[in-house]
Amino acid sequence: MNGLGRDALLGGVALGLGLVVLERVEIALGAPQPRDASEALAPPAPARLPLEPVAKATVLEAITPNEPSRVASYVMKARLDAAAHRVDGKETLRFVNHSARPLPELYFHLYLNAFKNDSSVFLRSPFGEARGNLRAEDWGYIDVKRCTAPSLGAADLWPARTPGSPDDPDDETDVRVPLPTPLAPGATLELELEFSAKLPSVVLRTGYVKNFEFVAQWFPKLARLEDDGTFAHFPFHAQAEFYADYGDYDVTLDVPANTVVGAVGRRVESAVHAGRRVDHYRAEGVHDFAWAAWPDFHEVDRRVAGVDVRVLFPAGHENNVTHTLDALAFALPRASALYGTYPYSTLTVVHPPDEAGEAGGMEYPTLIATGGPWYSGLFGDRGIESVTVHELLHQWFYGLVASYEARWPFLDDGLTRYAELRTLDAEFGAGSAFDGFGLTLSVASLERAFAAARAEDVPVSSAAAAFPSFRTLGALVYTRTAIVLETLARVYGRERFEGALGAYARRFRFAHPTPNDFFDTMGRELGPDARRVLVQALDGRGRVDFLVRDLQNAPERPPAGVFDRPGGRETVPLASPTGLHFRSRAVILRHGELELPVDIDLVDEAGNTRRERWDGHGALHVIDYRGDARLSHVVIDPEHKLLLDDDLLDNAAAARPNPCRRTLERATYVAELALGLLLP
Amino acid sequence: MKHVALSVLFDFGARAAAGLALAAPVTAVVVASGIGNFPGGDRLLFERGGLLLVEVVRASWSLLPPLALSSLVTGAFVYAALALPQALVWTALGEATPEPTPAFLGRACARVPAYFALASLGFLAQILVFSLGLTAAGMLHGRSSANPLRADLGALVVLGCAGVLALMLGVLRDVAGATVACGVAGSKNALRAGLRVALTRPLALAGRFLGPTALGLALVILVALATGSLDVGAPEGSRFVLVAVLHQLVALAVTVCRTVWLKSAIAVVRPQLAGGSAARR
Repeated sequence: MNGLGRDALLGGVALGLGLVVLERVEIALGAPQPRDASEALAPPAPARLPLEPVAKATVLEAITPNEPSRVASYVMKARLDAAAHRVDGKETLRFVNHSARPLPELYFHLYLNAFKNDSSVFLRSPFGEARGNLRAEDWGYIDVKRCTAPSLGAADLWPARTPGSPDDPDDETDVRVPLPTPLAPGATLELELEFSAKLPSVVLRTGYVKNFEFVAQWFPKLARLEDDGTFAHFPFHAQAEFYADYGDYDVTLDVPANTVVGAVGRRVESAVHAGRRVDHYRAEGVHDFAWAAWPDFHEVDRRVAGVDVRVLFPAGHENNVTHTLDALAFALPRASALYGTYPYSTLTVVHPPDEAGEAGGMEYPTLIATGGPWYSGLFGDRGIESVTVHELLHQWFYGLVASYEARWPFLDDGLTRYAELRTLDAEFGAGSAFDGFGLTLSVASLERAFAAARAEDVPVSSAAAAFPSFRTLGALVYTRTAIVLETLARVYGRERFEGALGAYARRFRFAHPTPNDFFDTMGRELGPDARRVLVQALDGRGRVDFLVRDLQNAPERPPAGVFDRPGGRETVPLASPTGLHFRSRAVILRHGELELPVDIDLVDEAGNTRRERWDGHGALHVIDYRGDARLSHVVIDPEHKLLLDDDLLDNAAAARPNPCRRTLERATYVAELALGLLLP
Repeated sequence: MKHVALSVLFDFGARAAAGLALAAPVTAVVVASGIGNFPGGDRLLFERGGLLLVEVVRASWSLLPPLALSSLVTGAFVYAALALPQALVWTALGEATPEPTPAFLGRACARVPAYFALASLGFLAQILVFSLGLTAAGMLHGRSSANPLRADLGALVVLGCAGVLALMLGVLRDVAGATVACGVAGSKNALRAGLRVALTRPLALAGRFLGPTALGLALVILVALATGSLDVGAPEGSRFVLVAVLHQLVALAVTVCRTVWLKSAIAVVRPQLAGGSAARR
């Protein structure tokens, strides 16, 4: 082989090897794999837009906000052993039987036992497909040492406990405790409990990493008593969240003196003694208590919209604090105006250290956990704003409107995601998810794609544990609910829709509504058609896809043929078209069950546009068009109101489709530049 | 001079054709999505909010892996084919005195394998260095998770070093190419000679490389800023044509900048090779 041949061979081998390595690098860097596109489109120093005018809610102002019912109130004293990651506590629980039925038993949630062993429902859940990806490396559990009811005698009630879910006796998160004598309707029972809670290594918003502790779902917690006298109790599933009665919490936390604590409620007292600090917190009219403890927290305090905001964060995250406070400054007053005034005096924001990221992205009454890397927002994403606004809005759809999260997760996470989408859109417009490098992406665009990917898997209103994976739950409970609501808002009018949602939030403030309460309230405000769509889309698997089937044009010609007229039979011969008028025909189809009104634009070759409206009833709508020019385009839903539409790209038909020269030009230019990088 | 100008134009044209070849399948996927049925056509892909951009990506997602694979294959052929215009440019730049065109073409064609080998070896080395840098950055990041800020910055520094090293390998490839233009035969000899020159006169080469490269980069960024939203809000028409022309002018300017650098590289290499030959004599 001569030198030329050797060079050619060498070049070919080197190029082949280079391409193989390049392909590997592409895969390592996340080049497209054949999965859902929407899952790769992750979801979010722009110019500030003025706040969108808050919807007027004249009807709503007349609805008096409810007061919390204070069914289960807790007084707790807890001591943190930071080295052992253990919390020892005493709990006095005051419980009122507000039902009309005597209660022979109580049900307690011992959520921490989800991390006790592999037999728990939680750890049997499909990990990696649940809310988080971490598995506990250190077990967590809660031991109840004593449970007495002084009014019923001195006997310890705990030894008589049985599994709360008899068909799943291995799970220890749901416990039934029989009472020696039934608790009469309207009667109050005071229980004294002692417990020791061992935290797991951080998993799904609870636990420790090094000396950071997020102490959530950490005490024996009474299941919610429904109005019919049954307890809403359930084993803790990895995809599920919580449910409890309102009450007052009075909690004293005894922690190492150097520890900074962020907790639910307001701190009323703090004292340091013998190397320990004792913080006393009170929270009235809430249904949970959680706290975080870490010696390395930095702290910023601000007053935002009349609320004392305390942000706890790791060093290096100052940029995130600015984004967080900015987000609260626009979201808090907006939510108060739309969904009822935020009733508490404090809000604590905990930004966990990066290695404890799983503790972030969670809501508790008056306490939210955010999260994200130190460079969040620096390159145009809205990650910090998104998580802050989302968890803040949970103060309404979870905190104040306390629906049964494990049974109907869409009522809290779905409504919250919709409110988040609207809040970010009102503040950041088209760049509500990303705005950088000349590209803007809105939350609605991304959510739409994500929601459409699994639209029909299971009904949105399914229980959390019924979803086949958390990806499906996320796509349906969070994003599809948000897109259903956003579609209704665009179709029936933003102001009316926000008024309806505000009515729901106010009517069921400090209450525990069901999906029917939601559907009924929205139906009252928006009408029966909207209610039907809501029920079909959320309680069923309703979907819709509008599409244009055919677009045909023909020049109009005078009528020809054999005509029986009063003067006798007349035969009119075929004549050439005049070319002055044209007839066009297009067929619009609606696939799916959801009947929604839709606009249709008819664009002729002269550039004139005529808009028609179809009420969406029936399976098809035929457009017969007569005009001076041929129809060049038919476009369904030109303003993109129907984000629920399964496929937006079949919403248009053209007599002569655009050849996409712009794409070809841009892609050619990019390829030329890329070749310039790789070649001499 | 005539050979240089024609060669540069040919190189630019070949790269544009190669770009078109690589862009055509992507465009076909976009056309197949149905976006062309809207009155706004593919202009809608660039609209604020990205609703239809995301929709097209979602609709075309399953096509992306085969598209990426076929683009790699097309890219390999294009890469090999572009060795010819490179050889023409190098040969024209290396001409001490104008030659008759047939002789010039013959000499350039004879050098195609050497330039193909150099380009491919350079590509392989750059990809390997970048991959190693990526791996090292990942490992470093994993080890220093105690301080995320430090870990991120550390990984960025490692990646940056890998990038600089890849850039230096590109310079070495070009210097080796310059030695071929000055008469060194075969890629192996060229690499050896190029390395010797690069080690002897690193600063002179760096200075001559950075100027035109920075100018080309600045042009790309400036035009990107200027044309970012120039034609997006308007229907296809004069502004679209203006942007297309601007883009091709930038691509031509970048090719010219590269040519300036290659000419400078030859100017540095030639005396070194002559000196080396004289010393050996």
